[in-house]
Amino acid sequence: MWEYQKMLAHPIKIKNTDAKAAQVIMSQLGGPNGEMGASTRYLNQRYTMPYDKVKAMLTDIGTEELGHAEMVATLIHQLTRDLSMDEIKASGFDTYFVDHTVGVFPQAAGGTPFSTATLQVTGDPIADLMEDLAAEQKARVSYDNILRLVDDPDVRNVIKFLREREIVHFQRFGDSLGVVQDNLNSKNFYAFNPGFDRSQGNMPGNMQGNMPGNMPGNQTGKKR
Amino acid sequence: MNEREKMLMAVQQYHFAMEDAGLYLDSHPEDMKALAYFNKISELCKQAMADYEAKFGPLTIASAAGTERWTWIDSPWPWEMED
Repeated sequence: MWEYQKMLAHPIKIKNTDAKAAQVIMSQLGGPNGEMGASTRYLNQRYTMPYDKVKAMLTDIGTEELGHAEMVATLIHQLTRDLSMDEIKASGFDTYFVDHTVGVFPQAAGGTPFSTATLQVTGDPIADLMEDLAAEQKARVSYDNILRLVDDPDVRNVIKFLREREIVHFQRFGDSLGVVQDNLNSKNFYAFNPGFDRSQGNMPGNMQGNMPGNMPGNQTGKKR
Repeated sequence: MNEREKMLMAVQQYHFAMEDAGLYLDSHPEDMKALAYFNKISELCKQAMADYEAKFGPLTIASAAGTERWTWIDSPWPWEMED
């Protein structure tokens, strides 16, 4: 379960309003490569991940991403809360303002509301970790693009911190994929789905007749 | 940076180091050096949190206990800047 710590993961103190910056940064809250998507993927993939190390990794990175979502929302809030009507009209922020005022609404910069249609939980440990590796790269790209668009040094420092964390998470998911592969037969990683087959004995057709105890990947000897 | 921000920054730094070490330990649970580092940092983090809370109020609901009023609600909240 989650408990709240009454602090940001990294300090954020933005002195100047900037509606255009808020508009693009918004994507890292509710967009396809954003923090809400990341935490949704990882926290929901945990349930069908059979290896302790990876259950922990998904839980811990998923939790860290919730803190990052809070940071992005804080950036948006601080960039917009003191906007004047003139700034709102001149910046193109009026199309957001009409429905959300300066509320923080999770959507992509282009206006598409946050959706799990941009992410996957496949229930297959290899595919899920590949999804996560890609997610971290996509997040890194979006932060790179934000750095091309935003000049304020207070904002840039926060974005650089968040971007660096995506790169570290990518490394950690690489470690996690290694854990999964170490538990499978290197002659055929795809012989069965360790997120489903071991618990049900639902072996794919070409493995019929093999007892679960003799299955590749059961070298730890651990019984479920 | 005022005193509150300085003391909170110490918590944020130790907490971050702890969290990052924890991610490494998730895939390397037998790394003794990493474990020793984690233990050291988490002690420093606990201390920094206690120091902060003594002066500026609770960082978690659990440490909101024992006061004359429910200080958990007090500003500033993390997304706010002090005016």
